[in-house]
Amino acid sequence: MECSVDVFVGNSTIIDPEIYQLWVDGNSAHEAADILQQRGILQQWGANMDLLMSDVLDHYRTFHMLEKTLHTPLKLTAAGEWTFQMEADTQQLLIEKYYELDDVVVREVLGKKLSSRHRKDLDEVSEKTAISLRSCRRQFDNVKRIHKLVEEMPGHIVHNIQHNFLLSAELSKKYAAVVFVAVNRFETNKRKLQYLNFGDFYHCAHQMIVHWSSTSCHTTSVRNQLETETEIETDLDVDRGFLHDLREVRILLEGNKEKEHKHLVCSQLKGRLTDKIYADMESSFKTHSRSLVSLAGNLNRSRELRSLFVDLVERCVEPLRQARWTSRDLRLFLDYYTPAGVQLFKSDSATALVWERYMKVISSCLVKIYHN
Amino acid sequence: MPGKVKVKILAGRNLPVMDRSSDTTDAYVEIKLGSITQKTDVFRKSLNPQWNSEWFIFEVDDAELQDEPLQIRLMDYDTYSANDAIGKVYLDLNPLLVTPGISGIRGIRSDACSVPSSGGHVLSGWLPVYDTMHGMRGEVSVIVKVELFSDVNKFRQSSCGVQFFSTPSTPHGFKIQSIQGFVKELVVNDDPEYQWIDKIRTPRASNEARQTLFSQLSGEVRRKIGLKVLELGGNAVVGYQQMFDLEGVTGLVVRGIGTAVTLVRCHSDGNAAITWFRESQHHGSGRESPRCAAISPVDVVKPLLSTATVTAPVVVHGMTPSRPSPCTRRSSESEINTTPKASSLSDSFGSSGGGGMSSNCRPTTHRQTSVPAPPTSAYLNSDVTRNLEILEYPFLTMKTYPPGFIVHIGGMVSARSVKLLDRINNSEGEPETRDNWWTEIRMEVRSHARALGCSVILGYEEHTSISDEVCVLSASGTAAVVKLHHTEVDVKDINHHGKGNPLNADESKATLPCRVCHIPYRKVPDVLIATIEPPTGINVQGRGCLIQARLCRPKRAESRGDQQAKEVSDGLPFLEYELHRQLINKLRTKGMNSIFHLKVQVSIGEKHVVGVATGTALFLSALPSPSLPTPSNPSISSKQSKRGRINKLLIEAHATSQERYGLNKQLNKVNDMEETKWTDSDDTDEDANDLDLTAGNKDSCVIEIDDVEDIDVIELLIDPETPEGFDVVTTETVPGLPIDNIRRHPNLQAFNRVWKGKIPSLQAARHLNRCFEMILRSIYFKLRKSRPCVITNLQFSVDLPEDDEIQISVLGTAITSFTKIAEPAPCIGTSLKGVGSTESEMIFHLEDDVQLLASNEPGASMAKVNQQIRQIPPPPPSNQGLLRTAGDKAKLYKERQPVDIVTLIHLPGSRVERYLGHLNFFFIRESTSIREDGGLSGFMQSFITEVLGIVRAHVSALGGNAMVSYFMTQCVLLHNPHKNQGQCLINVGGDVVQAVRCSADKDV
Repeated sequence: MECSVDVFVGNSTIIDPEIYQLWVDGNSAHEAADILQQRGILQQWGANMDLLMSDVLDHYRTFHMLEKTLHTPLKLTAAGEWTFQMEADTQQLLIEKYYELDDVVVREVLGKKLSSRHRKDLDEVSEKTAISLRSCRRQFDNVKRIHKLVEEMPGHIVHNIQHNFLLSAELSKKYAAVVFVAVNRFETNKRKLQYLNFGDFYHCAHQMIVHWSSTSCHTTSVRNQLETETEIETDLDVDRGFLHDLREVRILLEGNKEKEHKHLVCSQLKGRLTDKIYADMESSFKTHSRSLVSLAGNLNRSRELRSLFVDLVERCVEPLRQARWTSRDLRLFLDYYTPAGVQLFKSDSATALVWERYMKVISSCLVKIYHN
Repeated sequence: MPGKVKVKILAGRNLPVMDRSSDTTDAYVEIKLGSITQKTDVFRKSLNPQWNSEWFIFEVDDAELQDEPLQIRLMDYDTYSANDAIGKVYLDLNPLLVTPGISGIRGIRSDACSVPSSGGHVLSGWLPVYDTMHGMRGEVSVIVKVELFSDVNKFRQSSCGVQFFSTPSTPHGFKIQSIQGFVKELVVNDDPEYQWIDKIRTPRASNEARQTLFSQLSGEVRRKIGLKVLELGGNAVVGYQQMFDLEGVTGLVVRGIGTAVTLVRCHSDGNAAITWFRESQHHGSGRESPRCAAISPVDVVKPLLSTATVTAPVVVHGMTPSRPSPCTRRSSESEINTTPKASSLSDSFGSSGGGGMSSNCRPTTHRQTSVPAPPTSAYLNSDVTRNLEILEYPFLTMKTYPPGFIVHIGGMVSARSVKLLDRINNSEGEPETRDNWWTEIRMEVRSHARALGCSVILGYEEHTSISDEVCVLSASGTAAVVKLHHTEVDVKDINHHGKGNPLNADESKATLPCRVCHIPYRKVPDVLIATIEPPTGINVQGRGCLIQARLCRPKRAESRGDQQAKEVSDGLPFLEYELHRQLINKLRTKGMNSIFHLKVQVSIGEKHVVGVATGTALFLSALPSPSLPTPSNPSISSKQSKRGRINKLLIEAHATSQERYGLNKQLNKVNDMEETKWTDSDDTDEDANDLDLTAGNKDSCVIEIDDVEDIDVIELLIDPETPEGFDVVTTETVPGLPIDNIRRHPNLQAFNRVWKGKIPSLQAARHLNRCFEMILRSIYFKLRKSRPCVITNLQFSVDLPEDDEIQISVLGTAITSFTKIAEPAPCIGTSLKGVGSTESEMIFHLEDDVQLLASNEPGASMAKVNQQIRQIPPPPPSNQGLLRTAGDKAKLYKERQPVDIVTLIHLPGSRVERYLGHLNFFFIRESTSIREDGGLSGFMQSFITEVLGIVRAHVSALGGNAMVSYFMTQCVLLHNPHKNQGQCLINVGGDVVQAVRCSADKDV
């Protein structure tokens, strides 16, 4: 039926979670109606397409109005905000769904500058990921918005996101990972890194946030502690003092230390690894160990930090993969490799702590990214 | 005597960016009351300014206080150019003027006379800043206090203290000590939109001028009505209705009508007898006697009517005077064509007693009972001699009445008159013409009621419909006989009555005798039609349901002025007759015998005249069972099979309706009757011809099928049933529906539905019908997920703004169960749970790691200590985050109470504690980017959403948590697609209340 106005406004805003999901997924109103029709909504409620279309359009208009507020969720829930009256559960649902991320899309956005130039390239992303362009744009804009707001904010990133955007902890952590990667400008898009998915980066980023950042409580020296207290703390930055201290672990590259290290590790691993892998480990311990230790020693250079993932893949993952290590082998190796290093620093507890802090993250990351 | 208004501007938030270069705003606030303007300092470069101003004090006359809204305007300071307006807040100060200390009644005898109600006379809170061009633009936090000095000056112009209720019943927690009667006021002004200055000022300035004027006029009307109430010795107005007639070039009319009463707080010990019509007490007995005896309306009303009739066809100065009982004579003479002219007047009450709404058989009854007139005329004379307004118009605007108040219901009475708006005669401040128009029409309604032997008119309403220069005035109500003296027994029930279902609240009480349904010594009607709620205790069988008749008649667009007015005037009776026929046939098809809360609206447009009658159909056990309409087609006898088909359809529809609304007890009986009837008419077609509707063959109802068109009409009779799980009525509650869990803990949802589309000139009636069906179905579809659902107080309003366009606005309250609406809850609940657990896991991990580290390395103890010290700050945030997502949110929400808005008198599931005042807003919204706003629908949706948001904010600022008797009377939408421009006016309002949710155990 031809009409120019067709609206239904209730005192409490009516949100249909099903239609909202379709909107968030970037369907147009017609697409959404078609999908709903296929789901049998017409038969279920004895309606015709006109009614459905009118209802969907009504919801879409509401969502459109809500969208502005959803950019600043705190406004939606503020006391004395009377435009949209709904239950807290519904508010939470709206926010959470609006900020929902698709891992495949985030993987594409990760490590890229969040500029309008890249926003234009989103159609490629959409093509590649089979997620609608509108949804990609929404996710891109959300990442950008959150990034912009929390970038300079002191304190815990996850908490900041949770507090300012009222997202669940899980979702906040996803955004935190993206922001962390972006702020530290980690290289994530080299060809060699293409096989890594968002989950890998998410894991690594959080390992770093928890263990390496300025707020991560692993203060190694008094000097460092004093320093960080004067600065504004944020767990977005990797603890510079820690990176500086990391240079000390280069001791492990010295001939006798290296031999001792190898001896310790080999003696403990003997019998635990298959012969073939054990042989490889024994023969190329020096190479493996050197790549890990020199990586640590160089991390204080920002360029090295940025290419951390590339280095890990190039210098650790690939050689091991060539030698046909399984991830269990790798885990076993790392389990003994780290404490062995700690033993070697007996005289210097501070460096031992630094080593452990470093290896904790690296081990965890390596195990995580060691897959095809 | 002055009052003092104190205003404090605290802060603003979420203001729009006014300075593009710096992305901020330099905001300050202008506070204006009457002609005085004060300002705050400029708060530089912030979208969330903190003014924390001193108290701004305005000393004003109390009349001004009532008329003038407090205007709070937010401005953006600009050094080099003119300061830009951000937006405005209009504050109606009236709710703050009613204070316990000031009774506002001259010559108060005791405090009992004052309305000891309400208002903390402070308003504080965040109010949305509204701009007519941009909509909502942030919020401003204000505190407003009013200090009044009581004024007992005899010649004063103000009426502070008279409380207004749009609630058309006794406000909850009060009792009516006496009813002073009908009060009305009418104010005329130029519409700023049509003044010469509008050509040179900006749309914003023009809109604001209009908004301000509307606000002032609304205040003025209320003040003047208040004065009348005080004069009559009352202290409140209930059932207050205010209408804006936008006449266009000829100006703007603001009308207010209501019932002046003396309200007192309900005390359990109050045992004073209550007098209705206190002023006319001494009349009481004298008046009742003539009415108990049946009155012959013919004798009484004839002179009255005939004088009016003389002027009827004459067009004086381009103005078509009202034609009293328009439909009546016409329908009786030309359509029914059976009654002799002599009795045409009594006939008129057959069809016009109810705008053609009461049963057709009544005329016979009238003729049978003819009783000498003298007593009645004496009564009439006495009324005339008493120049008191209240006796002139025995009208009550309430829709529900205390039990026992209504003794007999005569039926619906209505009158319409077509007028030509005249720009010459209507100069500013001269409301006489309009006043006279309404006087005429009220007199007519009154005479109709008297003809039915009724003394008062209940549920009285007035409406207009304007198209170009032609204006249709309508007034309607329910003629009734009431008991003027009341004893305390009845009063106690007022409480019950306001709170719950009037039909179920007092099961213990004996049900009303059947005498309520008719006037004594007259034949009991087949069908009872009324504009009020079903009286308490009336015996209902089954449940009530929505009934609606819709009709569309073409109108020649070429004619202008007098010609057009005459044409409309001539067409009205036919429209009313058809409407009535449709309604009665539908009612019979449903197997019911009465309609309550009926509203008949006649709208005129350029090309069409549309009539819509919406009510709630009921089966009253006191009235005879209705018979199903029988189709007959004398002329086309060959179409027997078709007729048979139609008949089958009717019977099926009848059966479903019986099933659906629990009329099963009657089912068999009626069916049997049907069976026989069908065979009857099948045998002899001539029989059907002989049937005379007016002659009083009441047991049958025959639909004539002369042509194809008529067949359509019959098909239109059968409404698609409302889907399972829905109950739809126009009344407060669904009559006959027991109070179940849904209504004990309901989720309330007042909704506005606006639909605008085209009506093709061909088959307009059919199309119209389809529009309404579609609108109803879309409402059911919209609420599909919250079934079971009760839609109450459904109101339709039709406008024909452009050539072939129709705009239908629907207002109603959906009552749904609380648990059902929270359907999204489970899914979010689980996700939250998931969130919670992962978070705690994470914390756990963290500590685990630390401990591992510490145990591994003795040197780490230092670190551990550090960590403990430093961890003191971090935990709260993470913990908070955790809590926030799960439990705290709900708590936060609870603190921020939602504001319920209902169109009802009561709040189902809650108890009204206090009335905090009557709000009446007039909003204008204009946009020059309709396409970008999502089309006209997007524009309207955001506008209505914002308006509701503003209403909620004001309710909350006044300290209320709900609004009852919510209304949206004007919704005028103008659209200029070529300029991509649109404008909409909305008038909304209601009574602000503070309500307490009934606790679960208390009710169970």
